[in-house]
Amino acid sequence: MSKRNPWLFAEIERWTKELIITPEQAGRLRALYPDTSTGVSWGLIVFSSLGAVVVGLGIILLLAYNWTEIPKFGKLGLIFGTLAVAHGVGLWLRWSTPPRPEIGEAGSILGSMVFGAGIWLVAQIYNIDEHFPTGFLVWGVGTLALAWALNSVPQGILAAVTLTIWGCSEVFSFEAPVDYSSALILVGIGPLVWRKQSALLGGVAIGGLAILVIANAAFWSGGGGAFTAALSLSTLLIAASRLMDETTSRRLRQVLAFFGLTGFVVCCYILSFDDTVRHVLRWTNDHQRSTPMALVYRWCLFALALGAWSGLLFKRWTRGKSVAARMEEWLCPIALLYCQALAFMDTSRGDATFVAVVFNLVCLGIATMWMVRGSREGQLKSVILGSLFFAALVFARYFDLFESLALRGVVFLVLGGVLFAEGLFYRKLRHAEETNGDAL
Amino acid sequence: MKRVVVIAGVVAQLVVLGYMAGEREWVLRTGKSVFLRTAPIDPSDPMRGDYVRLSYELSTVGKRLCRDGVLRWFDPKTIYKKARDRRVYAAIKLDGEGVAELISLSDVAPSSGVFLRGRTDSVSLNSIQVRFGVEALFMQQGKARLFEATARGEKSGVPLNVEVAVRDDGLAVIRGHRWEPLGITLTLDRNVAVPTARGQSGAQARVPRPGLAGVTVQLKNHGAKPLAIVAGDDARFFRLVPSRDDSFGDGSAGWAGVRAEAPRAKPRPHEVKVLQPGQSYEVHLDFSRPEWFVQKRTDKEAPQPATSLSTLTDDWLASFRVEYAPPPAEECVGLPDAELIRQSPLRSRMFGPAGGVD
Repeated sequence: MSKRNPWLFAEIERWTKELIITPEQAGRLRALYPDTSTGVSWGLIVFSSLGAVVVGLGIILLLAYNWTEIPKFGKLGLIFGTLAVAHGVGLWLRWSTPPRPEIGEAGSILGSMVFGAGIWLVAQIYNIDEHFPTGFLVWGVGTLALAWALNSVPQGILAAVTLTIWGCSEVFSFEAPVDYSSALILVGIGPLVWRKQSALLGGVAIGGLAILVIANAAFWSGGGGAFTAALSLSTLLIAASRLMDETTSRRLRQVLAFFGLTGFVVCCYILSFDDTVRHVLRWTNDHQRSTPMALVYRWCLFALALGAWSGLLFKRWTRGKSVAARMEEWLCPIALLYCQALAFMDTSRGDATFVAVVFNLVCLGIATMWMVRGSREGQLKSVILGSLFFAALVFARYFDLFESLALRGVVFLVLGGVLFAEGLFYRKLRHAEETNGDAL
Repeated sequence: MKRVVVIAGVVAQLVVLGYMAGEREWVLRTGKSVFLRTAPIDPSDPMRGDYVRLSYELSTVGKRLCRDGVLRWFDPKTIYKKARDRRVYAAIKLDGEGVAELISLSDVAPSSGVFLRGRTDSVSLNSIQVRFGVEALFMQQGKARLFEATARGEKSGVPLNVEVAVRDDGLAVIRGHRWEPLGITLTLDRNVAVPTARGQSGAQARVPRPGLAGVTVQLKNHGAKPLAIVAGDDARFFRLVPSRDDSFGDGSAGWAGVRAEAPRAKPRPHEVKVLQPGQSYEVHLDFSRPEWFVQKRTDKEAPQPATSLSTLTDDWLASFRVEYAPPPAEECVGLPDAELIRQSPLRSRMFGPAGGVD
């Protein structure tokens, strides 16, 4: 039985027994919903991989105790032995008959954890106190190679995490950004995400990529550059999620849209404060505004994002409305263009309060669209998100805009009224839908 | 084919670890032995977890010892961004005890001689902080704290020499460590505090911090064998040196003892003192005497008049170490117990006229 349609398949059984449909019709109905599950037990993979990671951490801590009773070569033997045994068992389980890839995956992950532990333990044995981010780079590259060789999502996740730590350590601990760190994740992990169509790996990779891009942009061009990079990346991700067609996993598209929309909403919320507007939309504030890398982070991602939205417009023009983008998503490229122009011109010459009012309206618009669409389409998650965003906006303005207690009181009455009305609207639409369904 | 790729990936991980361990093991077995003296352990140099953080005397390099491209990194416009984590080479010479002394720091590897390969940690207007990859001494959990307790108690004032094996290209690997047998400690002798007259407003009389009248220096043999020192009449083998290296020339706090660079007469036989294990030698340095006066020097201005530390109570930047600088080996030839005389200079902990001993 399909795991996705248990209710439908149970009903088909009942309808067949009650002679509502014939067995042939039942068979045709079942054929419409083929079982697409791969037979892979993701629960087993996730929990055994997590277990392997925890065991790996335990090995790191155990050997980090640095037992003086164990001679140097004994410690080295333990490290090399554990690494070889973990990988050996992992591969044996993978290639045995019958194959047990889920447990084998855990063995391989344990091996890669021990590999990382080994880097630091060898450093401990020989009192090496070198540039520590390089350890994460070596760990990440070694794990990435195995991720490709084994076609493994958990190995890819470990590689994405370690490479992100490497890039961040270079920026935050040594003020020596490695600008190709984000490219390494994009080129090294991106194709694996595509190949596996894994939403989980995609989420981790995009998260790592975003952190690295924003951290490096902040180093080269300050808070303004980081903001521009974050907004451009969000715009790009939303466009990418809409440009992908049905051959791409729905969950993967959702992950891209999630990161894009989250980034966009956070950027809009930040710009709803006029003090922040003065800071992040004023490139002339930044100490290193004229360095080439500052220009790269300010303009390249911007150009890519606009290019992606142009592609989306072209696709929509050639294929019609089958290429859908939600209304609030169209605000994203418009906001990006507006912000880029303001930052380029320097907002200190204009009125930051006006910009903040504009973004308050944008935030209000997004929240309203989520609430209305959620109510219309029966998506409770969208209704709740819209309501929370609306409440967050009202609370922000409560602290920095309304000085009069009476005005604050009115605002709270309005907020309460809107939420109450939204509840009634949602209930009414659901009721109408149920009535129509019964009538049909 | 796929299995071959997978096995190659696993083997690559083993090879990486093997290379890391093998390279260091090779240096340990074939490298030249050099002793690096750790700077006197300061409160800002704490033990961290299960390893001892080592700060070497040659980890902080004054601008005057920098050569070649390193000098360009002091440009104030780029100082904080451009000079971090750069490869540097520290040319060293070894004293009679095998302890390294810095000759110069360059971004170009010396063509001859012993040198250490390192990376810049930070650059200030007048000095560079360098790390050589041997700044951590890992120990079993708990033993680092014992080590710290020993350094502050039983071995107080005793320098720690870390033995490193150095490869021809400057890569250093810690081979071991040993405590210097000779230790140096100080006891400050302060003037009596005299309250100033009550102010016109009737406020509480202010008690200024008393100046330093002198300092008692103790040299103690912490080793298991007898050793000899050259005490010198009038403590002439002792001197006051700035707490930071004399090569900074930063013009901000360039205090130095007037005796620091004065020529010294050759040692005489009666000046040699043999210290049995546990035995110590004490000498009092009277700061009211002109040979212990100090002088503020800058790069740009003429030296200021020498003054006594007893009058210097308000300058918090002035800080010194007492250095026992034994005569070179060639001057000791023919002296009694010459073979027992320690050849390495020995520096005390930092002290200041406005503060105490660090």
